[in-house]
Amino acid sequence: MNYFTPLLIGNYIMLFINLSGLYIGLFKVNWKEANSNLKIFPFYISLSLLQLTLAMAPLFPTGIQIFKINSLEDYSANVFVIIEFILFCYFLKTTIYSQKIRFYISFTLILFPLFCFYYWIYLKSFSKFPAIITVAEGFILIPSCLYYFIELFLRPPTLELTKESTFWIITGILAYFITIIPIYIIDEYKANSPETLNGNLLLINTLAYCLFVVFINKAFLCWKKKVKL
Amino acid sequence: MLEEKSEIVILIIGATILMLILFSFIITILFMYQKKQIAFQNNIELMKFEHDKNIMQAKLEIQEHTLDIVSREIHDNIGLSLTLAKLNLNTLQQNNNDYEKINSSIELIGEAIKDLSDISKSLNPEIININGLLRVLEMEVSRINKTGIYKILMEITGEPRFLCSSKELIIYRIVQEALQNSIKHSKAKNVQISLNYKINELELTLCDDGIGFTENEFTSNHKQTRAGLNNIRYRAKVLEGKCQIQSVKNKGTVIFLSVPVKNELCLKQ
Repeated sequence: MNYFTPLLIGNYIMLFINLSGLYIGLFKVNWKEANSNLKIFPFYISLSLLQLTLAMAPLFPTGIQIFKINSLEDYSANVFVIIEFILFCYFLKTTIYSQKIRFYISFTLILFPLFCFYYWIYLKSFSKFPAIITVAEGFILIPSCLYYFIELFLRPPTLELTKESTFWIITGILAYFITIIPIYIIDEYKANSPETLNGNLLLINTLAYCLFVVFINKAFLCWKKKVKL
Repeated sequence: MLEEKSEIVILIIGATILMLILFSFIITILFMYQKKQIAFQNNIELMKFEHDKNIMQAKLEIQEHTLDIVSREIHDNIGLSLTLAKLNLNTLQQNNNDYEKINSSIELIGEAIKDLSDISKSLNPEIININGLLRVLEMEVSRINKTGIYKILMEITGEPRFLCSSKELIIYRIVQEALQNSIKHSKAKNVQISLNYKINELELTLCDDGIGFTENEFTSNHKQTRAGLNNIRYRAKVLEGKCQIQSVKNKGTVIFLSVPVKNELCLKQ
């Protein structure tokens, strides 16, 4: 068993970044004074760590013996995607000012789980890696993220952007989904590609996710006091 | 093996391009935001300036209105009372033994009436409308020179022309304030007023040989001088002009004012 394949190295990096993110989120942020919408991210990183552990476990011979359920990582990935979507929606809803976009987020918050349930139940795909669900999640979240930038320029420029945690997180979400959507579409429609291609595509996904967690860490480091309006 | 290597190279290139795109996106956003921030700051400063200017203008208008009332009061009430007192004394003069005392009182009252009349005129904003800036300044200079204690010189260069009466009134008040400072606080004996009419601006320089002041003195003591000089600055701001005040201890003070007079459309009869 080669423990240093590019994909595993990517996973080690992701594990390290997630752990550091959890450490920063738990111990370096003064949560009494920080903006409340940042609070979801330590929880999100914990979930991500759990998911990563489940995804990495089958790659080790002992891991398979610990998790006896077949395709456990894919089941958990399906659940993870839906929780991730809810958390991102909550974050975007508390960040964006536009009532229309807030309504759009609320609407998709109902629509997306329905789509997921349809996909899992009728297509019996709960045990499959949720590529299409992730693509749908990305397509739903990208407009809200883009609107954040539009709103950023529509509103008076009173923020110090480099110290704005929401800016880094939304940039991270946007960059992550823009990167992985083409990968997942390719992965879905070219299922008969050679194994190496799929592995490399997954590696890009891992690296994009690492970058996203780095952005979350950056957001943690520029937490700021609550502003009473 | 070769195929795997080339795939890794493609992966690295892809990841690098992705990173570059991401960073250029972030930098572009930050740059654009900063640009907007600078424009926003400039706009706020401009609005603040306009707001301050409007407040100052309102203050000056109120001040002018008050001066107008004081001027009328002096002319109509105090002046009249003194004139009546003088007339009464004139009638007393014929059948009284204290001839000299009464005569001296009449003279004093006469002087008081004249002084009050001058003050009343100088306080009245209408004086600018009637006489124009140069004439009024000449009157002010001659009024002070008459005391014999101070020597005020006025020099005019360039081609004199009429400005808006509101502008001329503010310039006149600046000169009055500066003269008052020179005489009252700087204890100056000689003051030189220079007016230089340029094509697009009017330059006013006021030099005195008074005791002057240092920066520390200006900020800590001399509340009245400070208020006077601040008034000059405020008024210069209302005129959208530049004001420089330089002072050397025991040498004197120079007040320089430059007022834009471009496209001056106000005409005087």
